[in-house]
Amino acid sequence: MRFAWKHRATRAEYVDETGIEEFRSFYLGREQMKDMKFLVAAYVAIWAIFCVYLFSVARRMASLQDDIRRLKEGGK
Amino acid sequence: MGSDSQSRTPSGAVISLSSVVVVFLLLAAGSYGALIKAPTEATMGLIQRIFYFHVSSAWTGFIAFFLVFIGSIAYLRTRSLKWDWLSVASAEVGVAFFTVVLVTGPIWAKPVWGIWWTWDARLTSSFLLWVLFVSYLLLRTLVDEPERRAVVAAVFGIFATMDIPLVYFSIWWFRTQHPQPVMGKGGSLDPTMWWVLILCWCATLGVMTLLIRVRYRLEGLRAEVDALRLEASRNAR
Amino acid sequence: MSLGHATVAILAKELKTEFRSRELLGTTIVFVLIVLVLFSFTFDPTSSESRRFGPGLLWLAFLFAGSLMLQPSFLREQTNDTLAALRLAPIDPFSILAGKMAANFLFLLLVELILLPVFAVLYNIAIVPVLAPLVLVLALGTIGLATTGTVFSAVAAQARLRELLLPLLLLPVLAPVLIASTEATSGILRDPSDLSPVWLTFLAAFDIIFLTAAWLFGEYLLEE
Repeated sequence: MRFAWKHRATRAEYVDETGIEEFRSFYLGREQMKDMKFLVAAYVAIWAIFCVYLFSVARRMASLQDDIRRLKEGGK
Repeated sequence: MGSDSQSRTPSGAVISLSSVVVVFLLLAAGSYGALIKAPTEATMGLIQRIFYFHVSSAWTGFIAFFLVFIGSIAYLRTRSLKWDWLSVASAEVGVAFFTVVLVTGPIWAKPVWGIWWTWDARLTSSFLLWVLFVSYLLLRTLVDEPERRAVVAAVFGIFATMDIPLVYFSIWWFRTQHPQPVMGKGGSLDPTMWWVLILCWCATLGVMTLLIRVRYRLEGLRAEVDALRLEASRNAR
Repeated sequence: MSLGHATVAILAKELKTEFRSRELLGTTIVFVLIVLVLFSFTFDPTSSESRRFGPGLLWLAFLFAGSLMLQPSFLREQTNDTLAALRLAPIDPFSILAGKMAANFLFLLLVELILLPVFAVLYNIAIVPVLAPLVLVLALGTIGLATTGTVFSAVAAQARLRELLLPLLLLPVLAPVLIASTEATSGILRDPSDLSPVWLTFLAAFDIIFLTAAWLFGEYLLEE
């Protein structure tokens, strides 16, 4: 794709190395491909939100467990 | 509610492996249903497949906020801090689910309506709800003494959850009286779509339960730290 | 002492404290005046435009005013720890809240009634023929504002950053009141004036729900 853009490729020159263009024209219309991007974005966003949340909980938990260990050692 | 054996072993597992597996299977099934099995919607096309997790996240978020209500009332009645832990855990998880709703909403709106945001009744109310519970969480960070925090947060939590239906009705009536540039997801759902939606809801409910349990455990640890600190300060004296 | 008597006693105490200095009322009135002037820059304040945007900005100004004015309701008690003294009195703890709610309701309503003619003159809106329904809407909206505001003032007084916290807690919860009273007010100010029963009922329902909630759960905020 990058190669093609560099040369301002006309359609004839265009080399579909990855086959993505073939996939695109075979399975999906141009419109649907755009929708696909949004759909993927939505799913990525959902996973990202929960991963960030879990990460924050895990970090808070680790720091509390550190505190507990320190307090217990300090007590003895 | 966490059992006593859990609070005695701070490093012990909070959730069992099997429950995680079950939830992941549900998620996989839900995603399969949403992305492949469900028929493509006629007018909106592929993008409508966001719908399943978008809507089920909203429903699950409501359940989480309802748990805040239950936890708050139960705390005021019983004065057992465990109910307060349930409230804060549910509030945080509910906010996470509504964040999903608010992020996927615009992603859905953009290709369908051409704009990221519209002051549509449902989006607006979800936004307000999100703000409401973010301020609940903020309030909690601003009170240090655990019992005080629990009481104050419980009263605010009760008021906030009682506000939810009022927010919905007012915005709904308000929006139906005004001309809307874009409206209507409406229409009846295909039965397969219904089943997929229910499946996704089960999956998100499972995720909610796991997250609340983990977050509840975190609150338990915090209480343990507070107790140890108190003990240490007593010994020092 | 019965709940009613105690409430009236607290109300009298609040009124006496306020009217001794009148600083709260004065400050709030000036604040709303500033907001009303500033709003005139946000749109072209001709008569027809004002009728469209006027009710909303009026209620928004009142809501902001409320979130500032209700601040001291419990904060004032903290400086000399007078709340502890009130708690020791052999009265229903809810009467402390109820008395303060009534006082705040009267203060806010007074501010609103003083500012309503100013608003009408500044924005060219005829209010005299529709005064009765307008005051009804003002009263219903203000009950909602005073009820939740007083409770949240007690909530915020126990936290850090209290001055910032009250508007943050209060304004999202009051969104339904803003919508309902703005809609009712613009219905009244419309050319064939009509008072929407839907919004009136809604405001009344909001008031009843939160009064009940305050009665059931408010007293927990006063304990020590």
